[in-house]
Amino acid sequence: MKYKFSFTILTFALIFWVTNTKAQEHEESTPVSIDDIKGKVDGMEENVKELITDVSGLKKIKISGYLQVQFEKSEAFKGIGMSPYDSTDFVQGRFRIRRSRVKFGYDAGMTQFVVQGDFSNEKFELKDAYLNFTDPWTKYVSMTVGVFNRPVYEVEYSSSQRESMERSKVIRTLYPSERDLGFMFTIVPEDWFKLQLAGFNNTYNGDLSQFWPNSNKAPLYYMARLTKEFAFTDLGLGIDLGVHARMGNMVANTDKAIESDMPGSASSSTTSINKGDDISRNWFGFEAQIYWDFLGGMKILGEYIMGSNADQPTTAAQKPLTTSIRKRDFSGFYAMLVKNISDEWQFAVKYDAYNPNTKISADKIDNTADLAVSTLGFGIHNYSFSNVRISLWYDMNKTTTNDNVVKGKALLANDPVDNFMTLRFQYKF
Amino acid sequence: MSKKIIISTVLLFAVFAFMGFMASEKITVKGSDTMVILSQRWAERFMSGHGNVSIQVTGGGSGTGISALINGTTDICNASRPMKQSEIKKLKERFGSLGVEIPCAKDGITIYLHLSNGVSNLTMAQLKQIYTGQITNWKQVGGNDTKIVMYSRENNSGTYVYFKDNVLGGQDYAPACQNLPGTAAVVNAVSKDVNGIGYGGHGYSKGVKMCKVNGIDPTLGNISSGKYPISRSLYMYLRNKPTGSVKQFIDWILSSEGQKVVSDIGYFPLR
Repeated sequence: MKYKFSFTILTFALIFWVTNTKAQEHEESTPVSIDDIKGKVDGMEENVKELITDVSGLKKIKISGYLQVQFEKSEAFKGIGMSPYDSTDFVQGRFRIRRSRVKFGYDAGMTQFVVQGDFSNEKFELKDAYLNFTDPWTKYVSMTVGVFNRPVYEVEYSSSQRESMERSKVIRTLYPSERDLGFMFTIVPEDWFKLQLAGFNNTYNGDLSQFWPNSNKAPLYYMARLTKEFAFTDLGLGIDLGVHARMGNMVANTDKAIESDMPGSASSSTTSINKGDDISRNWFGFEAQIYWDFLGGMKILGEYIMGSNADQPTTAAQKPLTTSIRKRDFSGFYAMLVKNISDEWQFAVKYDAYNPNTKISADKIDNTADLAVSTLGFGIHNYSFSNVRISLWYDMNKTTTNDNVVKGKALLANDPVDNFMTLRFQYKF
Repeated sequence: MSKKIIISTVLLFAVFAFMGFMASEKITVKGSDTMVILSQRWAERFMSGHGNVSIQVTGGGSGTGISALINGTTDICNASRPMKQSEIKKLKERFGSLGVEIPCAKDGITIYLHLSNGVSNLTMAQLKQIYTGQITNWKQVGGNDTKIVMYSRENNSGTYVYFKDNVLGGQDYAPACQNLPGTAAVVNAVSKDVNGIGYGGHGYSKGVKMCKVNGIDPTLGNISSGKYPISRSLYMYLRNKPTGSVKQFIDWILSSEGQKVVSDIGYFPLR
């Protein structure tokens, strides 16, 4: 009985203690809870806003890039330097990393910053480095300054999108490395037209550190391109047309020139000119792109460029040269048909031709630089895997030769054996 | 080598061509969050009458849907804004096509307010000033003396772009504007925030007050007639002219049966 009474007292005491303690805890927490929670919520709201601001800032950073690994097999062998890919390495079959590019951009809406590098060929090479800004009033005009693609359709058509494995011969010849250092105004009043006006350093063969001789007299060359898009939506047809021109001279650093109608070898007859004369490097081109929603979609792309070019056979930048300046009237074009077979498969065929000297008949040419070349290429592309394009392409190169050129070079006697197959794997993000 | 390669390529071409023209009965639809519910209802009703067709509908925003159309990862893109020239250019380059635009419904971008908010009408100019941060207190537009909390969509949303272009006149949103990942999230936030204001598709406006704009209610008559100042079309985009089951689906959407679904969801039919 005594134990039972003690147990009862102890139980009540315990209950009282626990209840009292909880009540005290409740009394302590109740008066501050609403303010505390409101304060915490306000604090969290501020943090979320800061976070949103930070994330919005990060969204302005754009990173993109692409990698092209390819197996290539050539019919060419030593002694044939006609391959567009390289003329010093005569391995007939090999894997090669063609491009390994990463582009960093910062897009603040009305202003952009872009730097692109290429990590292939065991070295880093700067490709693009420019800033762009748009006028805030009409938003029709933007200015780009730095190193960037020159305003020509196939130059601007990225390797990661282009259906042929390489650009056309005429484009590779006139716009080596595609880019140059300078400025460009882009004017796009609504959808009426697009006008690009640019000026670039008179660099030599796309090497940004090398200039044509006497560049101080003609430091820049200028380019203009006008394009207009026509859409016939009822027909599923789109036609884009454009023209472009390149205006600029090189300054003669020698007193001899080989005229356009003369054979161009180093031993050719020359005419007298004065040092400091302007030698024309002017040309213009037409472009057309046709898009048609026919059986899954197709497009036809083409450009034609003609004009006057000039070079010195052994140009070394900025050094006084005794060799003759070779003036050349040229023409070149390409046409490419691309047909979708399904959403994942695509077929393309391209023909391109380049005549480096239109004023000399084929039988009078006496050096390889003046030989007319053409390429018929065709292939298929697969897009079955996300971000991946797999391409199989075959180029049939043709060079028009003659006895003057092939003298002592038996391998050039007829069209050189230099067809080229490429199996390319591309990843783009 | 060239003969073998030519023959191989031609054979491959023939095989791939055959594979390419094999009809697929699975249709993927991706894009505008504004149109997700509408598109899902369309898909459900259509599939109930076409047992051999499977339609998968996902959102993500108009920008996301258009990217998927360009990348070839969706058959149909839903978009609450027209495609931009830069997007058409990408489609042309990849598929050689301008794309096919099919207006499929009408919508009025509705301004959501909390049910307890005393404001019931805002002008276009006031909306612009609110979302660009020039008006920050409800008192400035006839409401209580409390700050305005703005809710918006993310920048991959067609509604975000449409609102920016047509209400803000292309100006940037105020930094204080909170971007939410879907129209449902905007409605939910406004319904719980007495100081909140948001915008989005008319079909989502449940549990919130629909604000007049320039004194005009977002009603069927006002939106269809274009009297309501932020009326817009809702679009479906395809890479090419529709064929097969995709064409059947599109034709059904544009039929009276498909357009009745538009009304049922809270949007506005084309006719």
